[in-house]
Amino acid sequence: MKLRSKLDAPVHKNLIYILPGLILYAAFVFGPIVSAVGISLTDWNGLGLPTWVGLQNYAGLFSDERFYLSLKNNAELMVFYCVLPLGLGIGLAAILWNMKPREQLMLRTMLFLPYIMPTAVLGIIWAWLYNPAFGPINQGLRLLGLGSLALPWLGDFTFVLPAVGLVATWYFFGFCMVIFMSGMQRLDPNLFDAARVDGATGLQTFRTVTLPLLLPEIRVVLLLTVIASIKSFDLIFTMTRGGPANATLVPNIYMYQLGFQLNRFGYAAAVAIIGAILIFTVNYAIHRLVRPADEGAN
Amino acid sequence: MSGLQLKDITKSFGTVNVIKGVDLDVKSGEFVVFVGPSGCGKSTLLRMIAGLEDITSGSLEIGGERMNDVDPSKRGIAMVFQSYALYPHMTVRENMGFALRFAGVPKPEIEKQVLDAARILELEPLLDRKPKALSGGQRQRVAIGRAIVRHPKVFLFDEPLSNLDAELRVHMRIELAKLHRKLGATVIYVTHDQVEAMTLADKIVVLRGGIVEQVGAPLDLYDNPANLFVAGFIGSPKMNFLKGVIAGTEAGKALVRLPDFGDVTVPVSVKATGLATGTPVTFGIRPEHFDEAGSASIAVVVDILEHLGGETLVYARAVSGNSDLVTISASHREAGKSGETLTARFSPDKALLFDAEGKRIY
Amino acid sequence: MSSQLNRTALPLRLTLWFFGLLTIFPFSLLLLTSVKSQPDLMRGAFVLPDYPHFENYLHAWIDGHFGVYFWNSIFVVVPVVVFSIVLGVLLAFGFAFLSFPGRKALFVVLTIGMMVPAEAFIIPLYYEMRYLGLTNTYAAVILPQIAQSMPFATIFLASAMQQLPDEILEAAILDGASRRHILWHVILPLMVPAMSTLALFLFIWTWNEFLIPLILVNDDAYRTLPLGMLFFQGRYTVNTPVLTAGAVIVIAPLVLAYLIFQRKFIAGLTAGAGK
Repeated sequence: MKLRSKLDAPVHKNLIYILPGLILYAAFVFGPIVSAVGISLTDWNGLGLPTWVGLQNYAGLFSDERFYLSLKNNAELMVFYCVLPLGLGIGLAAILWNMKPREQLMLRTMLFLPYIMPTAVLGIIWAWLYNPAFGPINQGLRLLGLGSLALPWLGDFTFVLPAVGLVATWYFFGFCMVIFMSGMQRLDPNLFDAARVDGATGLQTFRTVTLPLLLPEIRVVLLLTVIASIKSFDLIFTMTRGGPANATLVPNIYMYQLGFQLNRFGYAAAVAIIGAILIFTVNYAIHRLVRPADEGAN
Repeated sequence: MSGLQLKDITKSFGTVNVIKGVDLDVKSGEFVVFVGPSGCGKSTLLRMIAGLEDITSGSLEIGGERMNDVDPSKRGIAMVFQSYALYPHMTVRENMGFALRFAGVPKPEIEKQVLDAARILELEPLLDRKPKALSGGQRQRVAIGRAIVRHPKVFLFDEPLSNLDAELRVHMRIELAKLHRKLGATVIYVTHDQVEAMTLADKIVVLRGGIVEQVGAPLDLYDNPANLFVAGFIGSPKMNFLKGVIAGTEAGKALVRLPDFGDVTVPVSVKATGLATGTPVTFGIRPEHFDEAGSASIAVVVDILEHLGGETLVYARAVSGNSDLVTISASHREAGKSGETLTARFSPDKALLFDAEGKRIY
Repeated sequence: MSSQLNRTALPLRLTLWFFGLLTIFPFSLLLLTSVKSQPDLMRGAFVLPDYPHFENYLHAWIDGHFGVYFWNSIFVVVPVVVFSIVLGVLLAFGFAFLSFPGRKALFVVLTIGMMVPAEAFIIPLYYEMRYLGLTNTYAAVILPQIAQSMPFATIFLASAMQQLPDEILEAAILDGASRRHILWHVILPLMVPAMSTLALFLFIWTWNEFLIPLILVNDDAYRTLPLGMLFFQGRYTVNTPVLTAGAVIVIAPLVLAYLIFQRKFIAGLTAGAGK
């Protein structure tokens, strides 16, 4: 506070620092966000003037079966985006944590690799891996004598969602593991010695000491993966475009179809806004519900 | 060099007053130490002099010039921070010359100033190192060097030795005293360590709760503390405070009865007259003022002994058992055993009296 | 901790290695396929080629336009990273140390932009770009991405600036440095680690961005690598070796950056997690 007053100056001199960034932000992010809310209250084909329809688009969404389907698919995808990476990540971190530094570094480097990749490109690569006729996965299955399991993964109404979902799991679990590893390094090693002296087994220690103390990391991981699942677009767009028969339709794909293919921009914007509201809600909920174990102690 | 005057300086953050009217006169070349417990406002006061904190009211003059609203860099001060605040990305040379760059000093002149300061502080071999490659003591010297090159009217030190280990702290304390003698500079120095205050200061300012409790030369404060707080703060181990009651007066002396010690009566020299019999007082006697040749005595039971080698500290209680611990510094090792009863003698001339508000009764 | 080190049971270690290999298996296969000929591929996905067909990369680069896409990605990433950091530093300085009306409200407005995904406002953004006549230009891809990095860059850099020791800045004030000098000669040099971490993040995010170029650009001459890959796939479904060579071109710079700056990257990523 005292420092601020010394670096501070009259407002007009301060504005030079903040205006360029803020103007750009207002023009290409905040302005469009506000406009999106506006457009969602209209009926607009993108060419003529938008017609004001109030909340009609939102009302329409309530009885839109395809929108419900997209939400249901999204909910199922969360198992693959959030639950599996979280479980795998924490389990693997617990193993990796005790390993030799060299081996640890090698494994960490490998497991984290997918996270830096463009999901769109990963989608294209996995679409090739999953290809029913010449995709390496089915070729491998046939080589192993499991030809009957060589399904048309991305064309199969039942298996397409898990097939896409597993790519997300593959993308996220190494990232989760790294976050948990750093969390474990943050903990006081004496705690584990103390637990051992107290007679807890490895698994008991993990459950009663490690897990509760990792709540901050669990929160971060949940936040990032849940939001990523609601935002999911690139991966699904490049792998299935929401198909077959809407089996992988999620809100953002639906928004793309409505807007850029059917020119129902008002309705599409309403879908997008609902997505943003969902993200805010989840963010708030996770912040409220997942609290660090030592909070409230003082 | 020049002096510095504070006139009724106050500071408040919102409704909280942290400095409540400080008056102080610092003479040119004087080494002044602000001392007090944490939260007493000593650092705030220093930062106000530096210009890092605004002055709420009152006036600050450096070299006879009002400085309240002058930019920190133009007050003619230089400051050495607790953490040294060296710029980690600059070499020692660049760190020391940084301020001169902004003062428009030409490059060769900066170089000369830096070299001069480096010579005084024996930093010459380290000029091209970065702070990371220096030891704690070396960083401390660079921080001082950075202040020296500016030829400030006043040096400000904010607990500069608190980040050093005990041995280095003693060493740097001596270095600082030498440096002050060499430069003849005006110094204001903040510390919570009364030993630093006693050893370095020409003048100590004892602060508590944003108020100056007493100003004076170190020995002056030791011999003649103005109140209980200063008496307790200056001197180590702390002065003993015993419960007392005025039992009467006689020619220049007050007779003090010590109820916890079997109603022993001690005659203490005071100038004050009209002390009513029965007035409760606090009787202060320093541990080192217990002396076998003394004419007064109290009977105590030894609780714990601490052998420091050169002296022995005896912690004891009244025989009745209901007094606070009394600390007695004895010069010999056979000062007693735990549980033993001891007659602690002292000279009543050394004792001090304080009234119920803690003010000294002279 | 040390007593337990190196004593991880073998089955557990094998589990971990299994997952590790699972992670890099697709990439290895990608690399392998990218040096096969079409006939090699017909003989099986796991069969090694007689000799490496590096010409696939040439085909991808020239015929597949990956060369164009690559340079487009560079032309987009460099200005996005540079301007995001410059503007981010200024904004962060403002939010960390300066006062201006609506400071708190503006900060909230900034954080909103960090949470709302581009998907939510891509429609108005598309029309804004059309109105400005910017669709099918580099600007259409660059400007929104700089704007989008503002919240993260500002929050990231402002918190780094606030963590600078107060005493250093106070020393600079006492040394008489003007605030422009303090920003450039004291704060900025100390911010180099934070800025380079930020640059790494921005590079990866911008390199990987898909939606903005998908919607705002439809001229092949302005497509960036991920987009180029998608449209290449549409054009040549069957030429898998060239497709995989293209994929390698897209991800190679990322892998390179990742391997070089791994520590920095992971440290930056996990720094905020514990809070």
